[in-house]
Amino acid sequence: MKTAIIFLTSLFMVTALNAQPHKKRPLSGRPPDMVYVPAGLYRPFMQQGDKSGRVQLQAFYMDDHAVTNQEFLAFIKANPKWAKSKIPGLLADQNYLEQWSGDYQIGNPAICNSPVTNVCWYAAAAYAKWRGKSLPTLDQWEYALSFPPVGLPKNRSVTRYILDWYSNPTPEHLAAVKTGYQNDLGIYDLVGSIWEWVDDFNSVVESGDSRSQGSLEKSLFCAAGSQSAIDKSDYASFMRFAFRNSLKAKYTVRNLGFRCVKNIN
Amino acid sequence: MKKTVKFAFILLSLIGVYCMFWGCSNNKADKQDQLETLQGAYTARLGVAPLAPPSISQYKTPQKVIVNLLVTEKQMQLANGVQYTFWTFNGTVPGPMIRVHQGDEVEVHLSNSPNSTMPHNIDFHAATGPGGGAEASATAPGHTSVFGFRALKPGLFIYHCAMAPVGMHIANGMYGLILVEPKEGLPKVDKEFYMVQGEVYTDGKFGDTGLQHFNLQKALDEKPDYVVFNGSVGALMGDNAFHAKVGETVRIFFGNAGPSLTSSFHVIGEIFDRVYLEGGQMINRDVQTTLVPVGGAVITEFTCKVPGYYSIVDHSIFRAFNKGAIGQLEITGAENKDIYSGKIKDEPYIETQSK
Repeated sequence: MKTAIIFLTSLFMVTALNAQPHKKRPLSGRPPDMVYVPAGLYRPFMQQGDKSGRVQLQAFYMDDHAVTNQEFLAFIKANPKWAKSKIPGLLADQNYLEQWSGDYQIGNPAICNSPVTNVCWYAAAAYAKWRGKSLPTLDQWEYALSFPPVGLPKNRSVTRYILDWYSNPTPEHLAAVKTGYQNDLGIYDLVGSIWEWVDDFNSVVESGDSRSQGSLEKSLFCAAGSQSAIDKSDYASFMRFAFRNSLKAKYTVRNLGFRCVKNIN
Repeated sequence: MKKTVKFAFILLSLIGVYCMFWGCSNNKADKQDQLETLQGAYTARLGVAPLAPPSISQYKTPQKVIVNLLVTEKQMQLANGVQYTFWTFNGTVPGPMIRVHQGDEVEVHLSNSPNSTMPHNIDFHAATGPGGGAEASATAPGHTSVFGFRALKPGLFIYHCAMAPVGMHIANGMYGLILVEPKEGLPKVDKEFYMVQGEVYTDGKFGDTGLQHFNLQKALDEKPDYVVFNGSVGALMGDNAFHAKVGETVRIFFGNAGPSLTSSFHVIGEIFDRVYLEGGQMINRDVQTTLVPVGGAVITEFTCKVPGYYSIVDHSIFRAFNKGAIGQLEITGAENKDIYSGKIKDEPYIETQSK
């Protein structure tokens, strides 16, 4: 009986999670092209150890679109050591900014306003720092995604939208930012165009924490049946975790870009 | 009394000596597991379905066999007018068939195309080690992983992608077979064919045209609209049928990738001379239908005796005739009326008055 009550309570709380009224955005202080993400409770997809299952997140600002080739070019011009020909092999693999024609040229006007991809984690983090921002934590990113979409047909869930996206190979040219998926905070393209780096993309695997090493890997590979996931039919989340788990910080991937956040103190 | 003690002493020493020997023979068994030194290395010639790779005979085992696999995600035909985005090993469904010998070291170079949306990996059922290589081979788009395993046991084995969500990666076409021949090789036959059964879960019903997307709910319900051989409806029909001649011996390497349905493998109008049960070492003879579990395989052999078209099916027969699990073998050559007469007569049936 007690278990049942606890179960029901937690069920209620889960449903209530996203139903929290958004706190009013602060009128001043919002950086341009960023969106206010209100504080709230978030339930990580991968449950580990004896975690209660919920994480309290502080309010933060998030870029309303992924960093574009054009924006990244400005960063490279100001910080030439991150240019294609100058970046050390330790920090980026050989496909770094492969879509660009030169160190300081994109070369293809069609992609100027598309998300920059083929960037390693190090370069993404350096860009964020240069802008006085940071990369979102995994929790911040997933929390932002948990806000409801705008303009999706009622019978088309977010999971469904994501699976359809995945069932198409990466197009030759990525679409311009702010032309696809949008959520009710006003954040664009969290899904539907590219994968995005998060600050702690592999923390669950690499942390010294006893709950980690084995557990995430086991839940991502065949044998262990993914017991720690909160929703075993949430294939889209499995894919994001599998994707992040396959990365190393120096990796660059044709459909992997990033956006930044700014924490509010 | 003294006698009894003496007897007990002798008995105990006998047991002791026996145990020592038994222990020794056990050690011997352990030593047999010590791996032989590799005699050389070569890059595997892979078989593209429906052809099995040729058997390489007359070389010293064990060898290091290098297997190059490239994962690509691409739209291909699932049926007439029906497209689907398959995830593939080397651009085909099933992926290539690999052929090695017992004791060989298989060195896998798994590359994931830069255009892939997903990370991928590979789990070899022929491997002994965590995940069958799944963890060692997790590969982000635009990267290559290398890992190796010793083919300790002979048999026919499935390989498949085991990246989460596993069922989706398999349903999307990421599977194939690896044959580990015994050191002396399999007996020679005239023809060898390679086929794998798999299910595809689509939004639309069987035959609904256009690009079809993966349907999660149908997959969870284990209710596919397509059950196909070699990746598409008709992949082994008509011009693509298997061919053999009267008098030839045929060997079919058959795998069942699933991800959900057990297969009742049957060739209509043939009786298998030999079936390597579950792809292992036990041989059954004179078999009509053999059960192939998901994630399992079988080697069947038979002799072509009567010319004609023979249907190869999953004998869960609605799958064959309504979902695509059907292929054909065309046998050409001289008739043999003694074995099979064909129709001799067709005449009206007259009900006899019973009174």
